[in-house]
Amino acid sequence: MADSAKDPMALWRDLLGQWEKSVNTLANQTMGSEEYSRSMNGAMGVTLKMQESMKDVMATYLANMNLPSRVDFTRLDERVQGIEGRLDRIIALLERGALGGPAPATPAAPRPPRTKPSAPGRAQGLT
Amino acid sequence: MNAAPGGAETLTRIQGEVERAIQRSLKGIEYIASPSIAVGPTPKDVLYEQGTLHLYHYHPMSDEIYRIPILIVMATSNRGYILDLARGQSFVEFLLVRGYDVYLIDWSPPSAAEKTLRFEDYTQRFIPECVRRVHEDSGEEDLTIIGYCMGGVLSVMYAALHPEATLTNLVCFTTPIDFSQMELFAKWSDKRYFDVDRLVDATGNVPSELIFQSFDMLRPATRIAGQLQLWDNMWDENFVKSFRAFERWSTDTLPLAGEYFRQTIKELIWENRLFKNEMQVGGRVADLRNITAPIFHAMAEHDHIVPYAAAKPLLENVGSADKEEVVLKGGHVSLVAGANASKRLWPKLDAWLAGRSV
Repeated sequence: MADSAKDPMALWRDLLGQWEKSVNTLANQTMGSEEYSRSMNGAMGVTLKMQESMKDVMATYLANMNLPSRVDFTRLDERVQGIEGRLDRIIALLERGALGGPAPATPAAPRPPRTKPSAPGRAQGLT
Repeated sequence: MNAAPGGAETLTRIQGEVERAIQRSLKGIEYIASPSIAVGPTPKDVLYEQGTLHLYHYHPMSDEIYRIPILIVMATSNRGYILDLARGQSFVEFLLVRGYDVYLIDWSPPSAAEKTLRFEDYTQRFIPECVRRVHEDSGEEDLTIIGYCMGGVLSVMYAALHPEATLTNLVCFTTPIDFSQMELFAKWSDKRYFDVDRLVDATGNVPSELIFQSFDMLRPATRIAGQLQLWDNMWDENFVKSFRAFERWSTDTLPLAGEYFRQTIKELIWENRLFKNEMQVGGRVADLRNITAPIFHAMAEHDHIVPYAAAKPLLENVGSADKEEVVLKGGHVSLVAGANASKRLWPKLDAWLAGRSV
């Protein structure tokens, strides 16, 4: 414990540390109980039910308004991702020259040789 | 008349506290007004991207590097910049300066379309593709994989599912294996009360807020205590910088792909299949005994997310002959990042890995 007689802030820091530890311990005991698990998951169930109801209402509303829903956007997203994936594969093939494309305009920067011996290095600046 | 020595000391302390109080006020205003702190400063190239997956290659910082490159697999629930917080506080920078060639798999929030991602995708598609690209980019067939938390679980599954792969070393940080020992998580997801199907079916991907709250609830007083500690140390620029970087990271939680979350709950937490060597992934069993590469597992004494009992069985269950376990002071995050990690874990890992990287 710090010398709290000489430093009132040290006393405050000690008390804060003790408070944090005791609240965390108490909360963990409470949250580790079966009752807590049951009530927490019960509350989550209610929230999810509300979300589902809201989702149904919104889906009907958007359909009536002839507007795209989240599901429609998700489908679009899937298609865009599919196109991106195919483009990535084409680019990768081009980079490898598999499709007879030109060589990369800028050659890769030279890399250091992979010859470092096994003794652990001791570089400057970092401990 | 001379003041008593005790009186002079008290006066000095009071002056010091007044000075700090002034600094707190000034820096506090600066703190509130300043933008979010920059993180991830180490230069890197994007080598490959596929939806939620990003593979980076960091620019070497040494004139001569070890032959065997490193591929870091980040946890799926958090951003990879915890391993590259700031100059001088970066695990990645440490490795680069020590002569390693570093690649990193980082994750961004899965899109709505990626709610179907499963362990099969992570361990039989994403990681193998990244391994292939690291081989191609580095020109080396050998590889060290470092996995952090659930990134460690994915790395372990990959290694167990691909005994034919040229995995030279496997390094895990706080990697849970026995999920029955995950105490609060196991209790909160008690199958009698937790309807995971309903959650995933309703949300698609599990929202980041839920993931954040789950972590936060493990230590409910710590966030408040942290804010008070910040106020106390507001005069100290280095403390504030470090605090802000950690604070930003801890609240920057990622959503989890719905099917991946469902599998985590049902197969890992409820059935504990990985621990029992019964985890089926894409028709193959992730048998930990298949792992024969040298393995290093670092755990934290005060890890409130992955307790020691949950992580310890990894080395007991793998088939490797060359294995080392270290338990260090610190928590789940301070084990791998920050000032203490730079003095404890990083040099220890370097000492273990250097001789196995040539």
